[in-house]
Amino acid sequence: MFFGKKKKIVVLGIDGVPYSFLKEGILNGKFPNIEKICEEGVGLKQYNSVYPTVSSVAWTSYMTGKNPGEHSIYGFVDRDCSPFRLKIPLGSDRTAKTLWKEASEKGKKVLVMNVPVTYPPEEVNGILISGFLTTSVQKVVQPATLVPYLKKKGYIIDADPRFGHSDREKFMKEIMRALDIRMEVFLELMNKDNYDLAQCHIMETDRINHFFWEDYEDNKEFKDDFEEFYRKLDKWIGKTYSLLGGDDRFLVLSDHGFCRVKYNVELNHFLEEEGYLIFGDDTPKSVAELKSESRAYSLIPGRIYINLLNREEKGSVPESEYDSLRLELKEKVLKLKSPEGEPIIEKAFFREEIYSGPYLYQAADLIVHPHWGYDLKAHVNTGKLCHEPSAITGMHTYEDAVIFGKNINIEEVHSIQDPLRLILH
Amino acid sequence: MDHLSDLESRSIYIIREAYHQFQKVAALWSIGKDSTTLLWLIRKAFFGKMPFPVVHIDTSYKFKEIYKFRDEYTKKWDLDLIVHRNEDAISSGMGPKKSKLECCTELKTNALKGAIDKYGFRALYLGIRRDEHGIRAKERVFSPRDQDFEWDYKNQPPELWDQYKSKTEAEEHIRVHPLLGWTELDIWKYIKKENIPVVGLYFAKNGRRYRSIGCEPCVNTIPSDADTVDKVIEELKTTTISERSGRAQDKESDYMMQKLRALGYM
Repeated sequence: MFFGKKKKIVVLGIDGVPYSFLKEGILNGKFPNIEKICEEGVGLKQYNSVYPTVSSVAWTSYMTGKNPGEHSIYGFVDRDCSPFRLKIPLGSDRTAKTLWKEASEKGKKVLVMNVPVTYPPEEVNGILISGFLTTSVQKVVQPATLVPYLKKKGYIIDADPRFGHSDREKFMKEIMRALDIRMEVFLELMNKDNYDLAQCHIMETDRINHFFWEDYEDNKEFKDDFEEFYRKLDKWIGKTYSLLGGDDRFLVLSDHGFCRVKYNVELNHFLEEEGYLIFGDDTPKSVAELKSESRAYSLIPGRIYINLLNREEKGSVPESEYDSLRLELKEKVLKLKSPEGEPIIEKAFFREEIYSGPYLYQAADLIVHPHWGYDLKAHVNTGKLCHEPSAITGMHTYEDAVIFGKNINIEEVHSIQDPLRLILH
Repeated sequence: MDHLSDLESRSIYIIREAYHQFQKVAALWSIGKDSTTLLWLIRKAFFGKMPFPVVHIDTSYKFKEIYKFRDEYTKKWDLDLIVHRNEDAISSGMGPKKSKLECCTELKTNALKGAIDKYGFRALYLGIRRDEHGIRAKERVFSPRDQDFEWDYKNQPPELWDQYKSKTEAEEHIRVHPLLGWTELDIWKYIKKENIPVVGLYFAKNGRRYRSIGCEPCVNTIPSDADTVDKVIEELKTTTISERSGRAQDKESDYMMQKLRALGYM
């Protein structure tokens, strides 16, 4: 039975916060509020993310309780086969029902804020403020009557990552401001009404980890700001917790871990070098320019597609060679080495090994997963396989996502698809 | 009443009532199939005459076939045509190579703002349809815009427009969307029924055609053998590809891609 007699639930998503980072911080006394919640609640648990390890896939799996073969979100970028076109899947492309829609349909009141890939905002019984990749505050919320309020608060959908490259100081300030305003708005809205489910997503953790992980690990320029940011996070989590009643349920979770980037690894370069990906005489700007003799191409991160006849616009690989080509590619990627001779790829999966459902056909044919430190890219015309990282010094890890809370049995959470069941039933 | 006649009469009702309400109005004409159908309906609504100006926001990047069609039918239909361009941006070299998003903002959005400022229109007729684009699904037949051109949901009136307390803020204008409930297929069926002229780019040559037209650098052809209105209608009955897939980038998507690139996600 939905919610049963259980009390309301408040969920905070802390995008890309690693279990090991939180645990170490707690042990060093850096996160007193999180420590208190873990002690009064159900401890701190490490769990695994999704393939490929990106937030759009992970949070869509969270909000639907389903795998990509069912919800059909396979990355921040996807492709139409014919005519070939790169596209950005939105919430409206999702093919499974969200937990807040389901709750709404059962008459429960919901407040949902800033979860990735929820744009355009769907109508719920309550408020839905869409998250990352929403283009303007004007279009961010259902009901739209809240737009003036958000504007007045100076609401920031997402700190503009372009500043991460051009003006790191400005970017850091924006990240802090975005966090503060978001949590202020969330708590104000939450206190105005009696919500059965209130969820707020914090994206800024992922941003600061991408752009400032080296500063943190190597005690560089922005180390103090990095730590200040996480103190703020601890304070906001504590503040949210302090507003709950004793029986209310509380859940805090991240969708993946983080580690330092050693190299950006260009899989299309590998495919070109090995003769699988062929371009004409002009310098290519995108995989869209591949010639029909090509046998495979890649999209970020680690998604390899066979240039299959009768599926891809310029497809040429007959169905009869599909399995053998996938196997051949799998064996070759597993042998890729860094300049230091370290293996780059940990695992490679055929799509049917990790996904199932009616939208399996949209998945990449081979999903390649790296060892920690090797961030898989898919640019073209890059000249070599491994590139030193630039402004982005942190990358996602499959292992090391974190979950904690109170009055909720996190022992039952083994993947990010599991919380839905705990919340709804 | 059959489906097309029903759509037609609803649209004509909206067109007449909005004119009655706002008087100082104009129709935006991109010379595409939808806004050309809109002009056709307006002329029908007023017994063959266009009682108000038609505005073409000219980016200077349109196909030559579009300019030719515009000039031909401006004469034939005796239109009071206003061509408005953001001359400052054009002369400073703004173009899609610089940034598609900025180019659209300068040469379309800001040019339109310029035209509204200059001529003081209180309402504009647009040929947008709800099925065109995800974002347009939320549009209303009457859609107020503030001086920043933003969609002011708070003051979004009920669709019953006689309850519409009229009265727009001084610096605001109303967008009127008489074709909102039409689909792409409805438009083509109506074009066939009424024998409405459209730009030849919509019909296949050498196995490709434009399904959506606009600025030459930013739209692409789709594979198609539909070289007549009948064949276009047949093609649309079976296609699963979206209408705007031939467009280089929708503006929102361009903006999203910039962000994804900055994050290393694409």
